[in-house]
Amino acid sequence: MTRCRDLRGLWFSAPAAVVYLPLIAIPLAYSLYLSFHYWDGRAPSWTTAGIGNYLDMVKDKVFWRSLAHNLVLVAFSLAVQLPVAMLLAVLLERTRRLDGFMRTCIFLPYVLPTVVIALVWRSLITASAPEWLASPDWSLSAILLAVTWRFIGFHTVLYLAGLGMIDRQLYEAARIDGTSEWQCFRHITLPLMKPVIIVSATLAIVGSMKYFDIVFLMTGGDPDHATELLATYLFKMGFVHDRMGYSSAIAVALVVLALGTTVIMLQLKRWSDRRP
Amino acid sequence: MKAAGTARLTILWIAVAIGVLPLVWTVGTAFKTDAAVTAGIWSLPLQPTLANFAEVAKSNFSMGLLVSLAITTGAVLVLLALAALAGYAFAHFNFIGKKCLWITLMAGLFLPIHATLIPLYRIEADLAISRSWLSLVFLAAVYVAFNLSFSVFYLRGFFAQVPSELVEAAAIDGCGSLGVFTRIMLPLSVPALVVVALVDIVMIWNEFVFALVLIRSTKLATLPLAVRNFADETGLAIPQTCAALTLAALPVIIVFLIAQRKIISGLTEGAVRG
Repeated sequence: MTRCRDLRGLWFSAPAAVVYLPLIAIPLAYSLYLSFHYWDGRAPSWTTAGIGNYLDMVKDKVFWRSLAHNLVLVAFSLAVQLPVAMLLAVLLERTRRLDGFMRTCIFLPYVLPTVVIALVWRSLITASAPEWLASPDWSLSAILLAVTWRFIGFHTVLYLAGLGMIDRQLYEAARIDGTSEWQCFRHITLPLMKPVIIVSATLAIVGSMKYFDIVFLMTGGDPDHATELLATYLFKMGFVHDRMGYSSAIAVALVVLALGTTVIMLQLKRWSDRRP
Repeated sequence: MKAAGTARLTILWIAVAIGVLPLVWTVGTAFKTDAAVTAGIWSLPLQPTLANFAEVAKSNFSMGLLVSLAITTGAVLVLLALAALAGYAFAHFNFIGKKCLWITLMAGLFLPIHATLIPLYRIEADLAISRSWLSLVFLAAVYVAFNLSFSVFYLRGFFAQVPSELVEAAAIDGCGSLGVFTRIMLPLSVPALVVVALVDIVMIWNEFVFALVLIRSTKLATLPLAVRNFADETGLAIPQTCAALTLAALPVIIVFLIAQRKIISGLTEGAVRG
């Protein structure tokens, strides 16, 4: 009986596995393998590199700069984007009129094609302050602006969903006790929202680590790598400079970083679920 | 109390303005002549022109629209079928390798997909299809693979809520597991399928980098690629680019306005429950 049941489950999940494994799992393994070789993308054979590509990576200043930019993106989303999203969610929660309209407007950028987002901002900046994107010191801030514009509505709605699950009576009881708004937020909302905050922080961190589209389309990592991210650098190394092995080594680093962060954050969530 | 309400509304309206103004500017600029843009980038298009849109129409844009329509439709239909079957399997059966396959699938939610760019590029080159229309089929298959994680995750959650008594009762009535799936699970799950379809449509319609790498022929460019090519060809000429952006954003905005509740809940609830 158990054996028969096993087969049914296998049959039903097989079509998905047949598409997923060759197009995702196997390419990942292939990237790992390629990262230990040198290959220009055209030559019929590869040369063994051992850990050569990884040694190059550790010595490559642009790699570290790109990683630093990814970390700036992470820091900015945690320190600015998520708190502002929380503020907007709390304010929207209390708004009875036009709240649906406001939510639509704030969320809208998230569903737009990244090409549209990047080129809208590039056009707007080119038309109003063209020196901004060309400045090695300031171009990254333009990226932060566009990325924040894209994602803030997503996090706001995530928090709204979380706020909706909090029992209203808790606030009423607190109000009778004369608790201030801030104390309510600090001692009721924040602790109860912890699981949602961890989820949104996970998405923000992992998303910032693997971010690509807007930078590629707005600045291409320029000027002089001032906006380079790991993913855009990996792309450049592979498809512009024909260093497929080196590009794969960066890809492996990216996977390790993203999945490592995910595992840590999920542990954190499990831990916070256990003691509310 | 009243002051607090005013402050609240002010902050919200500022957020709304920041969300919408860049788009309003883009649409407005799309109707302006080059001279009007140079004269003042924030001026209203007092003498609106359709010339910019005409120029977009002459480019690969409309072909891109068709390509994206075809690829999105095909990929989403296949996705729904595969994800519904797999979601049912994960919700109601125990089988060998279930946990292993589940973890592999769910890792896809957090994976930097760019790590698969070079291998997929290489596979496509080996298949020698990079310049034929088969590259579109390959791209569609890649889109199916990338969106399986979310789709299976969401549908599994839905199927798991269907009481197993219902499944057993149907089995007693002589339904095989495929019968239970087609006659009970699928009809019950229509709302969930709609949510999954909408999210996948948005994701696939908007996707950029895999199209960039896997579609080597400009004639087969998807809409996002066609938009970028157009902007590049014009040297990012502002009003023309804005016209292309307006047209590219329009379909998504319309779909979003029609089905925003479902799209928002699909995009966010999955994340909260996970």
